[in-house]
Amino acid sequence: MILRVVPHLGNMLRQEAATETGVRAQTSAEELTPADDQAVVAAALAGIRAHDAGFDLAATTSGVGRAREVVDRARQAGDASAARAVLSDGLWRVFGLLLEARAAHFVQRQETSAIVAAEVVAATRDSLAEQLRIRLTCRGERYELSYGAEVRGQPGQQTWQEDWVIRRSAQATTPANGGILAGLCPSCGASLRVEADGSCAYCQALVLTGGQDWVVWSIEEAPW
Amino acid sequence: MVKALVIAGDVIGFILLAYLLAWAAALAVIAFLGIVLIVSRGRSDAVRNAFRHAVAAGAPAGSLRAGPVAPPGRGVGVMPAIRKLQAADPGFDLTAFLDNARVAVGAYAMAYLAEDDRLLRRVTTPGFWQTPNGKEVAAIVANWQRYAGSRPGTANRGRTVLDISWRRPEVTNVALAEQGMDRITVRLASLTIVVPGPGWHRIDAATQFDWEFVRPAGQRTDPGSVLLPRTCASCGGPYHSDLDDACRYCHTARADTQAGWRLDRNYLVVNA
Repeated sequence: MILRVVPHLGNMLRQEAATETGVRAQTSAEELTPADDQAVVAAALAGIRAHDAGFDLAATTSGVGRAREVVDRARQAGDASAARAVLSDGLWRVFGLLLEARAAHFVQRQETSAIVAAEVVAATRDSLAEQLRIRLTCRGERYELSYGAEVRGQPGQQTWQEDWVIRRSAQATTPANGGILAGLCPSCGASLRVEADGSCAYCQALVLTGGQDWVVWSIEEAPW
Repeated sequence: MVKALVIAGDVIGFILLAYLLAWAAALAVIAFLGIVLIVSRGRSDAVRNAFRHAVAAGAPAGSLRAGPVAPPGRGVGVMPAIRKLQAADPGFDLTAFLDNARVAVGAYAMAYLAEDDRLLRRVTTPGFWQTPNGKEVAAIVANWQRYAGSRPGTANRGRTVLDISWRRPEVTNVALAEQGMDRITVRLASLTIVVPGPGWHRIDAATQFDWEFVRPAGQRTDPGSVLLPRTCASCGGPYHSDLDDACRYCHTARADTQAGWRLDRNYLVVNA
């Protein structure tokens, strides 16, 4: 018995040694990745505009807000397929795994919220990819139940922030029709309907790899 | 008679002594774990780092890697190697590669926390299961299978997983055609939020790992392999879950190409 427990203790200690606890994160100033210097952000945005004349920051930010609504609906319905059209392939697969794991323990999110502010807090562009970190300030109520008991958050109105990271290839440019964040295929322009394998239902183009247009690449919430 | 009483007294004494020693050992372990908990989760970085050094020194080879928390831009030096890879394999796309890496991170978290390794088995090399972390995951899942095997109808696995995400993924090393393999290392922090059981407080953890992905040297990205296999190649039946490792209709094993790259090993990164 002891011999079986000792290796587990070793594993626990190694995990512990490499772990930053959420409590620690909550007490530190770094609840979310710190914002970059505004001058750096402005320079990166200028770089994006220089190669993509159609880039419209307001429309992009608004599209992220729309994507958030889609993902929220999918999360509350426990149906990952509803979020297929906005998340990158990998993020969507992990999102699906997560919803399955949550469903197995009857986890439900109760949320009614609205975005009250949005700001680009980081922007990067290199020869391979472009990435924007958009910080959304949200107001509303959110909490999660498992087997009917609260396990995260609590009822009542609150204000919080979330980072939505979008990414695309450095060669991609904004489609004339607005693209994925506007709910349209960046390749054929049809209303975006994505097959389960990640291709557009009409033109079969791979649209959620980030090669042609912005995709939601990461969703980061401060501990709550 | 007296002799028998003396022997009985000695036996009882030994039993009492063993009982007390067992209690003392149990209390010592509990006290030790308590100290570990307080030290490792305390706010003093100096004490935490001392703890980390001690644990790193005693860890089995191949499970830990001591290193600094990766500062932003640390991976800039690998850009020439990525460009070289792209020159040889025009279909290679860093964004798609990192997206696949994220699937491995999610699959590892599912195996470790929810005790379900079906997806992880499809995205790893056989060698992964010979590494300390691979063996540990296999042991966790085997424990659950033994538990479930003796309790027919058990459905829930592991802990309640509320969230899995990652932060700051960064390619830190690219090694091409070494020992017949191309190898890319990604360093990132994975964040998990779990509830161990009903009535327990949730646990938030951010753990830094190095993830090493390999494919045979000289292999090129097949554009078709980027498509996610959502239906069985044999009978056309749909997969209902990413965790399905075989077709539910014809039972053919499910392939997962991951565009050729597979997780070969991962290391916990302990701050040096």
